[in-house]
Amino acid sequence: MNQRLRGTDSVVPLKRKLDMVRTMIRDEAETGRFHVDRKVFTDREIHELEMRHIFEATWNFVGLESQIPEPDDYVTAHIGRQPVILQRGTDGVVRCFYNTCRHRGAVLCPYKGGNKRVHVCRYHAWSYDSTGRCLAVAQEKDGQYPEDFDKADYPLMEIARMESYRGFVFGSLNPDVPPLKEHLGDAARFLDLTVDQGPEGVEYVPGEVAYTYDGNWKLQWENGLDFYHFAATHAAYMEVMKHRQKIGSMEAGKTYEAEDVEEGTGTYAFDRGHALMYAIRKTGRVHVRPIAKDPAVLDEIRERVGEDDLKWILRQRNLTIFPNLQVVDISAMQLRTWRPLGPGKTEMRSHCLAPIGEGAEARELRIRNYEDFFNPTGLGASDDNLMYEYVQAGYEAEDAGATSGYLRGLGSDPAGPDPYVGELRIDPAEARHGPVSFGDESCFHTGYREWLRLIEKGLEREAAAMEVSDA
Amino acid sequence: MLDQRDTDAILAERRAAAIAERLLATEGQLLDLQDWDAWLDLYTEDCTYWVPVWKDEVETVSDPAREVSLIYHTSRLGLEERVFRIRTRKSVTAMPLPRTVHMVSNVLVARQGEGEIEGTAAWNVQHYDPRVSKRTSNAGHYEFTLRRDGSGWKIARKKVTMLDDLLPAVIDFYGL
Repeated sequence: MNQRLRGTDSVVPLKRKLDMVRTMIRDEAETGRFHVDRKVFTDREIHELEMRHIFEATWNFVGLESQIPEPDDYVTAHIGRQPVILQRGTDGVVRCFYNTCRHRGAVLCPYKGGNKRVHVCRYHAWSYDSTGRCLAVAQEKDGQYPEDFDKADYPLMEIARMESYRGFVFGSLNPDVPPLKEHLGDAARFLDLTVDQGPEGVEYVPGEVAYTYDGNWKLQWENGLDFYHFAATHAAYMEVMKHRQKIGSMEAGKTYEAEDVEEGTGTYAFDRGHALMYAIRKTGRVHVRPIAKDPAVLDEIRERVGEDDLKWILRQRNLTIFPNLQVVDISAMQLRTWRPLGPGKTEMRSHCLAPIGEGAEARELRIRNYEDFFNPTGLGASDDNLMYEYVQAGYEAEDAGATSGYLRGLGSDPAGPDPYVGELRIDPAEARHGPVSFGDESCFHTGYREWLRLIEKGLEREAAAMEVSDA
Repeated sequence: MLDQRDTDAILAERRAAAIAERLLATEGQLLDLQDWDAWLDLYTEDCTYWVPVWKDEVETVSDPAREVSLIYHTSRLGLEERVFRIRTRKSVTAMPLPRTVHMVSNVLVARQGEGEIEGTAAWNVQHYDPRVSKRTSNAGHYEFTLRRDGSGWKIARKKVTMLDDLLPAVIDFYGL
């Protein structure tokens, strides 16, 4: 990381930044207080710190292995601000390279994806094979290169770490991260409940939907765990649902819960910022689940992963893997990932996730359900997106002081200990549950703790490096 | 090329183009006026309204049963629901609604038969959002099928291809 330091930096501003970020998260959850400063959403300096010390310093979701099934398949993406290529080599191995030519730095591959055995830079025609090896430096012989120049020293640069968990590929630009499995912890169980919906895992339904909103990335992150907003923000959507039932244009929803199960919602918080929000519904907003269209599909899943996992597959689960992945599973399964473009602008990439080999009828239902709610042209997420913009605009009222959006769930839990961790086989850092109207907000805390931990760690590392170089 | 056809064929095509131009311009005007009922009435009950997603740099999705679209409705109910949603006065996307100017041009008739006209057009929508005091514009291509309905014509199929594949936070029928 030392290469990111600049000669003019000194330890003093780093320490000042450290003091600043520490005042921005007031974590007194033990005594029923948790505040996040408005500036965390609006300040450009904070944004720079997030890019450098969070997005470019921890595990980020990059893509699915099923996007690049064949040798030489690739997709392009970003980790933080930095362009990368996720490439399956001719040798079948998946690697993640910086998407930049070793010669003069041009983006090597300007397309969203495809199949290429050889990438040729458009500028001076340096070429690389799909394993990253530099194949040719154009007109090398006539180039009067220094004696020791060897093209073998100029392969595509691989990012520091890349690992896959059950087909979900994550990358880190920083080598100093734990193994992916350790990073995910028990939050990985909820990726299992995604992948296990088909015997061969999941895939993106073709058709990525990309959009931006004029708000901070953390507004999407919070919203994806926020059951509390639904009734208000999506009131119009609920009216449309009622209207559909009334005129009979929609198949009646059904519950997949056993009779003795109680309705409710709850959350699990895991270390390193990950969290889950779930809902157990028998009335109200219940849906027809695409995987439940065919009883044989449910039988196959039950046979493979057992009754408990199937039960949880059929429950609404909103998973956040910090910092840039959410998987929402309700009437359809949505995978969203994002990239902050500034403190007040976020680029979203949304995919409809589906079991590989799904039947045609279930697939079509899934796609229509997905479009209905999750698209920016849909009837649900568009309301969320505008709320992020309203919150972003409202956060400019800095002098209005701290907000109070992190308190639900901090009181005592009348429902007692969480009843589900056993059957889920998880050991979360925190678990809270309550009625459908509970709307826990304390599940956001783990993300802010991880946010602060990563920025502190990054600034301390920079300060230490600076002190060494000053000495 | 046009010269080699007989006058009747040329006149029939001009007539079809005039019908299409008038219908598409009327649609744009009704959307601009937010006269939703009159707008809905331009569509047949069994209409298809399709806004595909760009799959890559050059191709949009082509099979709504197996690929994601931005909007895919196979009856007017889907459009009616969008109007219904606005009228609930509960959707923040519609409080306030943007003001729009629809412009449709380059209307070309590709085929015309008994009671049916198929063709293409180019569209541009200027879109002013009073919420953020910002004007944006959307543009793209239409493919349309019009069907004779009694004494008038209705839209039986409309495919709206947007130029952009990085969309704003909200986009709905009134901005297409």
